[in-house]
Amino acid sequence: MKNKSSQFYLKTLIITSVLVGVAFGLVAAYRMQSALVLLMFLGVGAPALAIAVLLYRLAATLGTKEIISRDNLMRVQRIRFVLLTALVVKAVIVMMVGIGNLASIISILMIFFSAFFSSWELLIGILIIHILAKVFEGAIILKEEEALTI
Amino acid sequence: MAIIVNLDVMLAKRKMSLTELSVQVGITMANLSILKSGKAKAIRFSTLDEICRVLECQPADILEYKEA
Repeated sequence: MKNKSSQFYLKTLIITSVLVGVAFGLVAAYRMQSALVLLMFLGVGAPALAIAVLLYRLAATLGTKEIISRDNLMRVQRIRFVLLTALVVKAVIVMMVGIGNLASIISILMIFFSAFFSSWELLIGILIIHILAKVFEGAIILKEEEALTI
Repeated sequence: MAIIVNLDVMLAKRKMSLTELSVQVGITMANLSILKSGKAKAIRFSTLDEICRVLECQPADILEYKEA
C-alpha cells in the first residue's frame, strides 16, 4: 500500500516535471527565436526527456516484485549512459566553440577537460547512478542465486 | 563448479523416480531437476536433510567434490 502511494507520487512528480520543463522550454525558445538557442534547448531537453521516460518505467515497477530485475538494471544503466553522453556532448560543444582562438592540441584538450570537470553536478550525478547501478547489480545477482537455492 | 550432485545415481540405486522423490521430499519437480542437473547455486540443510531421509543415505552420497 505504501509502495503504491509512493509509486503514484513519483509518477505524478515525473509527469509534472516533464510538462513544466517542456512548457518553459517552448516559451523560452519562442521568445529567443534563434535556431542555435533552440538547438541548445533540444540538446538539454532530449536527454532530460529520455531520463524522465526511463524513471517513469522504473517507478511503474515500484510496487511489484519486478523492482529488482535485469530490465530495471538496464534502465539505470541507460540513465547513466544518457548523463555521460550529455556531459561529453557539452564538453565537445564548449571545445568546438573555443577551437577558433587556439592553435595547440593541448590547449584544445584543456578546454575539453575543464568543461568536463567544471560540470561537477553532472559528474556527481553520474557517480551516484554508477554506484547505484553496481548495488542494483549485486542485488539482482543475490536474487538470482536465491532463486537457484533449492 | 567442483561440486557434483549425484542425485541420479542415488535415485537409480534406490530404484526411485524423480517424481516419487519430489512427492516424498515436498520439492517441486522443477527444483529437483535444477538440483539434478547441477544448475543449483546452493542447497538448504533442510532440503538435504529431507533428501537423505527419503533416500536413506548420507550427504556425501549425494554431493561429491571433484577438482576442476
